[in-house]
Amino acid sequence: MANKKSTQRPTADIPAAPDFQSADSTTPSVPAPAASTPSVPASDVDYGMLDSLRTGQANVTEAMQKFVQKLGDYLSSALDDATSLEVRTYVSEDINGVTYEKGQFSGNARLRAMTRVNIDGDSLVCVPETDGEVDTAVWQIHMDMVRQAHESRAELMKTIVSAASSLTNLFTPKA
Amino acid sequence: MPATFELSLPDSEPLGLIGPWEAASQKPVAFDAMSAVETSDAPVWRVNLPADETDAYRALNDAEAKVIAAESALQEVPARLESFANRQPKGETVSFDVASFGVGEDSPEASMLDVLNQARTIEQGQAVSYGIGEVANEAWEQAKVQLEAFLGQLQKEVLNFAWVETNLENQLLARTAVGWSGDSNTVWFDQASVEQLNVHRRALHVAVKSRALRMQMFTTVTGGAAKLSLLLTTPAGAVLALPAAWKYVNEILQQVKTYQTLTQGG
Repeated sequence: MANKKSTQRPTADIPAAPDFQSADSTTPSVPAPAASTPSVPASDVDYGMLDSLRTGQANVTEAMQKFVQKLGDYLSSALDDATSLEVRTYVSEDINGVTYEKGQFSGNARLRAMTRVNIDGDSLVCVPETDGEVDTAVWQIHMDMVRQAHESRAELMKTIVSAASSLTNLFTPKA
Repeated sequence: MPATFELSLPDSEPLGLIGPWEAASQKPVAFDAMSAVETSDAPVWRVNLPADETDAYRALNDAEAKVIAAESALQEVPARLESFANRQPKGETVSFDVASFGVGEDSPEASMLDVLNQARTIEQGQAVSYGIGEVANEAWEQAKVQLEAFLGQLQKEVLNFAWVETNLENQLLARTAVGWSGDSNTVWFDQASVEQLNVHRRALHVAVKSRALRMQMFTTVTGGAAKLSLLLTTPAGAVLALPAAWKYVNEILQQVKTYQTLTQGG
């Protein structure tokens, strides 16, 4: 393993959401007088409704910022997870009696097949057998599930890139 | 027994439902056994199908077609918005009304214009005396509240795995825990036939695809808001336009859903 090339993982840059709650994020900043009250044109005097709408705008911005933050965190972990793909197949006579803890089924579930594929192509496969023979029915559906999981993974990557670029567009000030 | 495709989220009714999915009516008895473990924050995509194989396959075919149609509709949104934005009347006193933009009164574009009008009011800081101010305010406010809720739901979905389960005539056939990155654990009823195994595999595909489309929906909304912001004037225009884009995308998806339900007779 010493000579093994390091595998470069993809990255997605998610822009930080600017603070749109301030009056104008593109206006050059100037020192603000402490505890000043901005001068407001007569037409902008608070009529109640505008207050509620501005609060609404601030809420949407806050929700977006929180979401962008979470999405960024998620994308990082998703890309870490994307270094391998793991699919497990269990069977049970009573699925409702099966429990799920720490990412695995337990209780009366029996693990019948498992596949782990690393990003470098290394695979670990546990094949199901019944009385010394490969259980072809379980094996076939397991392999179909692995194939489907690969496709989902590819779609996920596309979605991540798309989400990242859409956020970039949203938070890029207009020319 | 008619086929049903239900999504249930912890603590909230799902918004932005795509394709065949409906909000789950109630928590199923069958899931109580797992409620004490790791299911509390996990969305559940539940497919109930008729026991008859032909009927089950037909229901899955319809569901897959609905998902494909929803995906197509989402992909068409950017071009549709581009066309809409290009119809913007020139001049300082542009009115965001259906006549100025030449759109139908019952179209998603018309609803979007209502919300955009509010966005512009906020942007310009104009105190508008509508007399019916609450009504005028309502469109933007409602869309904003929905969008916030949707973002909250999406956030939970992104941070948790999802359950996908398939029932044949109320008999639980299989249950899968699937993460966003594709890792999955599936437990099958050990008496299931090969055909039944494939039924769940297809149901899982519909669910996973729909989950990805919910994220794509978010992407489409943000992309749409960026386009709509060109109709507004401040740097915050894109954020102000988000509720309008959300409403627009939702209405288009709802139209597709209604149309398919009618044509499929479902």
